[in-house]
Amino acid sequence: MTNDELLTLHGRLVGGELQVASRIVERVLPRLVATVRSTVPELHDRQDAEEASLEALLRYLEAPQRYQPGKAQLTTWLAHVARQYALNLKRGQARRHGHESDAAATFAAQREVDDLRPAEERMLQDLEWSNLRDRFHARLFKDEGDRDVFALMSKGEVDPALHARMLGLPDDESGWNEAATRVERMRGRIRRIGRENAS
Amino acid sequence: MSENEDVTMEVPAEVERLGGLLARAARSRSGLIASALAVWERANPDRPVAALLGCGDEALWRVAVTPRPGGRDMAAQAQRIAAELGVNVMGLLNILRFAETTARFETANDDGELLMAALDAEDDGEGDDR
Repeated sequence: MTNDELLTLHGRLVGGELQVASRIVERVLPRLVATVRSTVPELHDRQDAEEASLEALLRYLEAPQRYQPGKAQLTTWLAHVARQYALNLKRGQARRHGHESDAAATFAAQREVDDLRPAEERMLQDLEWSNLRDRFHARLFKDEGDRDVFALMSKGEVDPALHARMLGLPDDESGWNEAATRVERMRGRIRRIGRENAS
Repeated sequence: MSENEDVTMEVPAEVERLGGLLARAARSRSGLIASALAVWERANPDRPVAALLGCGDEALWRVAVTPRPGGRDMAAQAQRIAAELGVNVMGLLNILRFAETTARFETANDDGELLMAALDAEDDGEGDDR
């Protein structure tokens, strides 16, 4: 499912074709949960990330016209809505966990929200990686395991040992060298795409 | 492989699991069909919606997360939804109408609106499903 196809489904839904709603859900929900889970890691558990994602999607389904396609991709917009909900969820959790006074709870909640700002930056980075993957997957993913390499790189993981384990390579120098080659190859593809799009 | 090719990598089982959770969360959302299913189930515990719709869990959550049709287009919309998702159209229409009528009763006062609501529901029922 490409973004264009998703946009077409959105247009049909707004146009009154209610029957396409679940097709949109199928396409975006798992990806949305994964994004929220990876970009708001401070949430107490995995269910919180799912809850935030479900809430964002329900708000969209109830009023799909609120999404303005010209401003952001649907998944990007949903991720932002989910994140806002997740932050509110986190504020509530902070109040519930061992604070004796409202003032202390408010202070702690604010501090935790402040701590999440780097997470917001990570989310934006993640979304950029998502865009790259969506637009150029044919050029990025040529060999088995390329998607795994790309996924780890998108999370800032460049440790050859980690890549080697992910690729099922031997956890020794030969495996690490092979993994490093795969990472470098992926970097090269990304650099080429970047140069072509800059020119 | 074209640049615009499908890049989604969801595991179908995960889609189904999350879809089920979404449908459950949607039961309190009046704008979605899930709320109508919830109204039906509360009033008719011995008649499960899955049996009425003639479908399994996979179709059921997809119906539940669909925006709830209403007004004059309800029958036509229900037909399109039923066709797309492979559920019984008459069952879906019954559930939607039941929920709509229940809502009318809940908001009616005792100045005759209750009777009006009942009559409206009766009129609606004579149109498309007979």
